[in-house]
Amino acid sequence: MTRTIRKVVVWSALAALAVGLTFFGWRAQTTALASSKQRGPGQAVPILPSPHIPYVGAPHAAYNSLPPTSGPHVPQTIAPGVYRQQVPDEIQVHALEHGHVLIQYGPGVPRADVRMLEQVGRLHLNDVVVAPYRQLGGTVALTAFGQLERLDRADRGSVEAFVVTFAGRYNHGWRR
Amino acid sequence: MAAGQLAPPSPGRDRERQPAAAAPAGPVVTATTPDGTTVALGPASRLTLPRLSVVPQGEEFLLGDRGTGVFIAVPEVGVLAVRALDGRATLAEATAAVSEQVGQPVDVPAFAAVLAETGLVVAVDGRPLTPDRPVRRPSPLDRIPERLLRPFFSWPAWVLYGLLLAGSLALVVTVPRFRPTFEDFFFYPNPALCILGVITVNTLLSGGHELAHYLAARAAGVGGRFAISLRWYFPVFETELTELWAVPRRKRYSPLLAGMAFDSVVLAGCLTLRLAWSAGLVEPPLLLVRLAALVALTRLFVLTFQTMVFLRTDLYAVLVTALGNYNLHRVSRLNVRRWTFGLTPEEKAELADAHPRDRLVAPWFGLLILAGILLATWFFVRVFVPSTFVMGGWMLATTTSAPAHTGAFWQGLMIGVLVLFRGFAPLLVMAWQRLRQAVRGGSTEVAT
Repeated sequence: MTRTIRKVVVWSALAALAVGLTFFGWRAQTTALASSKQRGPGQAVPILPSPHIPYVGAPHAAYNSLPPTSGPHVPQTIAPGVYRQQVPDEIQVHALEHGHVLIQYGPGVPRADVRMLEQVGRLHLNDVVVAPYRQLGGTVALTAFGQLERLDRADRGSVEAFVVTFAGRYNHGWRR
Repeated sequence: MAAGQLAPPSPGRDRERQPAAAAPAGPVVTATTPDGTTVALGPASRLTLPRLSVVPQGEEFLLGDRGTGVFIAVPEVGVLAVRALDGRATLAEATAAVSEQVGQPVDVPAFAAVLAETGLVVAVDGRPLTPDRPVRRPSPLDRIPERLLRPFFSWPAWVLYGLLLAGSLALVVTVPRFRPTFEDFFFYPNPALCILGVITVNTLLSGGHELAHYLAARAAGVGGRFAISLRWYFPVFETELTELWAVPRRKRYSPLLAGMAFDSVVLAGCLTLRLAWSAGLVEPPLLLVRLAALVALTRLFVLTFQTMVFLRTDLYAVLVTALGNYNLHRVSRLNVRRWTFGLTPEEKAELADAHPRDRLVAPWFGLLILAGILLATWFFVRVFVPSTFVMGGWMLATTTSAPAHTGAFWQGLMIGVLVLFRGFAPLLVMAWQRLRQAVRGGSTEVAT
């Protein structure tokens, strides 16, 4: 076999491999989005179309819950952890889409309760975002993709139950 | 991403390096130096050699000029020949002396020609061969006394580094919540700050990794040189440690592994901070806790990258040192080309002349290279190209829809610059390497 023919054969094999990888990757992703289920603490919220929007503050369809549980979101997400500044809604949705739980509290929540919520965040380092949310007043909101629980007062048992039930349940498709 | 590089001794033409049993010196031999100068060597020629290091390696010896970083492997008789070529003896006198020592005729002029061709001859009959020998310039770091550095690379220190790495790996494997994820890149709810943070962290830590190589080399009594290089389409910083060929093999491991030791210490520090914060033992700023996750992620990535020996990583250099190879990667690549595209006549000759130890190991290392090509193809198709498209689309959508006076517009531009940099960085590094080679006027240092 001449070098030219060998080159054509080898490059063709590599190109076929690349096309195959792309196709199976795309198929795996679309298959993952095919089913859904919602049960557990809190209430299920209808899932909105969730397209990417270019930036925080760009015009988009309204969310159907406060804080949001699905809908338009920006391409960037946010690392799980404890924050002391509000996370924009458009970023929150992307974190929910990755299977994370958001624990958010209003400015009226007592400092001791905030510390307890942050403690939950420390124990679930890779699953939870804890942050303030101005519009919540004196309440606490727990959100997962398509799921919301509002608490009039921070109750550790409820918070833990929500986190354990919903963390990782969804990640660009239902996992369990 | 980074790699401490131990460039191989001069490749190929192994047979010519050995002063072979032959007729006594008489005829003139010619040699072409690395910068293209042709020089005639006759029986009356006197050679001036640079100060050469001589290090035993198995049954051979490594001869080299630490100033230029040129090293060759020779048999014992080569060492005798070099000692005879002391600048005073003519080639005929050196031939007679070496032949008498080994008890048979030795072709010293042919060996002298090889020395000239590899750049290990400074002058012939007092006439400089290469007036501008590119000698490594001293660095301000060379002023740090070796005795201050040695404790950091002593055996107790290495035990500590090993324990830190083992402990870190045990933690991330057994406790999932301490396992870094790609989301750690988004440590702040502002993408522009995240991008700046990632670039800053990577640049600083890559510098630390390379500095560790350099300082460990200094502790071993040799120098290095910082450079930028390419591992396929990955641009990397690197420290060229070619001078390590001038020290015994057991002393080479510390400089080669020092970068990974640095990464292990940083990784362990970040994980310890996260562990202590999670347990409520410390109360650092929350941003620092998240940055620690980002740093741990990058260090784990870098340490994993080092296991990809087919990309000539630090562990490749360790492997080559342990196996006693010289130019394993090049010989293995020639093997792979032989299996796939076929070889040109020049490549066939190069492979045939490769060191027997390289030829012995090359077939299985070639399989690793093939596996690496598949992995790199997968990464390119599944990660590099899609993420470039996503970021490019993000940049276009943002810059075309956000008003120019908003932060979002400038974030979009920054993302665009990053996309362009990612795409063009390999080409820029390639152009830089070509330019550097052209300015140096030929290869006096064997690049990998």
